[in-house]
Amino acid sequence: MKSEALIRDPVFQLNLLVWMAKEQPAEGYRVRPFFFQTGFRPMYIQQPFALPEQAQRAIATATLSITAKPEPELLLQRAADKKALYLEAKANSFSPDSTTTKQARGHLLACGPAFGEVMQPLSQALLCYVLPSNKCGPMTDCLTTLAAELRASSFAPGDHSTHGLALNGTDLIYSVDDKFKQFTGTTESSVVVMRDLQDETDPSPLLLVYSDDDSPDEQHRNHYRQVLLQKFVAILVCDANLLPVGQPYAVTARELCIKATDGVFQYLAGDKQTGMERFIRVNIFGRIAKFWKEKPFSPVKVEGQSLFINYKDNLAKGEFVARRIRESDLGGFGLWPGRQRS
Amino acid sequence: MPPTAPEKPKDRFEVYRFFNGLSAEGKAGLDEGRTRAPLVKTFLLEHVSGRSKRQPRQPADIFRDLGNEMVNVDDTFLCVKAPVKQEPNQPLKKEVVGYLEQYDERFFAYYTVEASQEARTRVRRWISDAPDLDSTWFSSQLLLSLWRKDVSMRGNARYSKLTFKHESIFEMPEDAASIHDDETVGDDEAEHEGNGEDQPERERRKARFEMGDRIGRIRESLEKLQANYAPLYALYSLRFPSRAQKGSHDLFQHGQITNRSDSFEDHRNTARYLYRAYKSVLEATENVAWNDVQPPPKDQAFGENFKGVPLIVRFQEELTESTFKRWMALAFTKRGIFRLWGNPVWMGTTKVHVYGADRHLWQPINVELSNKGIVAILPSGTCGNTFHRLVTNIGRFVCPKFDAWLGGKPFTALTDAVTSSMEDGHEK
Repeated sequence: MKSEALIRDPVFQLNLLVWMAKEQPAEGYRVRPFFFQTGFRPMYIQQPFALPEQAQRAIATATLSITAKPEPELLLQRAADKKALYLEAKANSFSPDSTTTKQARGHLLACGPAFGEVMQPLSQALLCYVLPSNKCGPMTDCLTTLAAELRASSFAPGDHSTHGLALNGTDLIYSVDDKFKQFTGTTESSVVVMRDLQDETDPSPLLLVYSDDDSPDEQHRNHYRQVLLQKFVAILVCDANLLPVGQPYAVTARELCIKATDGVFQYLAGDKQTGMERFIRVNIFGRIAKFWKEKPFSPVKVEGQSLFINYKDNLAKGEFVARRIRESDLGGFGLWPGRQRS
Repeated sequence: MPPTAPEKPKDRFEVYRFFNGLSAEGKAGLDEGRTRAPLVKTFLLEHVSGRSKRQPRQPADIFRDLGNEMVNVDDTFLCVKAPVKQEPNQPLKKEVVGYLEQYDERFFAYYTVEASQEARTRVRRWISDAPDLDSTWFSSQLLLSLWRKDVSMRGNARYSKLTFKHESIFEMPEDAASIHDDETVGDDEAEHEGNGEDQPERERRKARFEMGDRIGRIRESLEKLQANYAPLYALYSLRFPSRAQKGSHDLFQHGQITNRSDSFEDHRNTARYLYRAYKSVLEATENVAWNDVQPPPKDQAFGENFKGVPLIVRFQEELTESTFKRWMALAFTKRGIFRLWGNPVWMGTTKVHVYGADRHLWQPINVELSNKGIVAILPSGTCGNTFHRLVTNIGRFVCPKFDAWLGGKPFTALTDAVTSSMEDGHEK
């Protein structure tokens, strides 16, 4: 995938932000841990923000369109001064007339006084929109307009900031505005977060988290599905190899999701969880069950939400782990229904 | 034929006395420049830990499942009877081949006087057949740390020996590399036989150096030599002069320790010291590396719940595209040294992502491999041995000089800290 396309890809953006909060060496880093270096640590990924009761009631009766369940891509916290960064990644800026403003108003309210009330002992958050650098200006203007509208309607929005992603030669540059520098105390306006990018090589770091499959095109979506499928299959292959003969094994699609995402799955929104579970049932459990359906003495069956494995002897185990399970990681990936990013 | 080990020792000390006799005889032989008796060897083995997601098993069960007969000498000391070849056309017969001591839930020591090659083959076969058993992996970085923080301080006049081995097996044509890319590469004995002169030799980087000298002289020269030739970072074995006795103990990358002292107790003390050092490094690795997400605390929304740092390795010399491709073609094969399972996702001509598994331990691992280095993520609860095997084999077979970090900390800082604390007597 070309670097130019990647900086607009939401899965790449989210993973880049998480890598920027991961502890890494000052020199040999994979992605410069800019947030980690400024003292911020990951707190939540795509966790819906629960606005206070009072705000919810006001939203319900407001003339402005505001989401009552804003969901930042990433929430980072700095314990020392109780500050937080509320990060939202976008492929493009949008105008004050866009339907996306509903979500943006919710984010602005979440970063107002509501944040301290909900996230105590954290006291304040800065809303940070991350998008291609050339879109930062229009995005700042839009957020300023939306904040003014909210204030005019007696709401209390928080401060906002825009961060840019841009390519400069073989470097990927992450730039921040004065508001961010003021809030965090950092002095750098822009930093190189990835180096030595090459035209023919996809610069993505290892995927740490999975967003919804709202990538800009089918090629991106297929790549992420392939990765996800490989992670699921790797876990099944490990479990199948370790399973002793005669000992029954059962796993649900949900359990597999939790294992494959190191628990991140539990923090995804409900529709994303449902989509992932269906993806496993159709593309992994379904294929395995179909393959073994006609075979005598099958060690595997699918019932309801679960995949069951039980080897009657070492031969059956050898047959299953050596060849059969791997067939599920080949070929097309089916559809994994998910939400489209606005 | 090795001397007959006690078949039914009344206690472990009878075994110790037997080994002591061999140690003294072996040491005397070494002093005379020949080996009169086989040397006692210890293999430090790693099993799963209760703090991981795997269920630890009793060593007797593990080794019985491998076709051995296990006889308890006491609660943590067992006699291992394994099938041994007899005269031609005679069936295999189970004989005592060594003894197993359980150091703790996770680590075992296998003591044997079998010849080195046979013992290595036997241990390698056990490990290969048991997904919950592994070698301990003393990478070149850990060995160099033990040299710097420990061995080099044992007295300038004492003798030590450092053996460096690096073999760029992936620089060869693919068909040749595949022959070498298994776990039998470069066993010492085979190389020592000296019968390779008449054999064809591929042109590739292959370095093997021994520095056997007084510690003071090695210390004076080593860094200067390393600055000029990278394979001198690929430390393969390190000789520990005995602190209390005459002689020494050789530690190899795959966790073998060979006794060259005249006391088995002294040898066992060295083995236990190295087990503690390795255990500390391994646990320290897992403590920082496990990629973990904790549920939000019920009483507060505040908290860091997304943990785990990556292992980052940067090669000091970039691999060529052809070498990288050969490495990738072989790294995921069944008998490949790297023991990886997965379908590499090619991100470019010299970069792949693998969301796969450690083929030996059957645990997931996510790894980015490129001609410039490696980035690996260890899922929560999985064994840190995967990291250490990876780092060990990188130094030996891919790039002899590299920098490695766990999160923000250099790998050497981790190993140095552990060996320093051991030297201070703060063993855990």
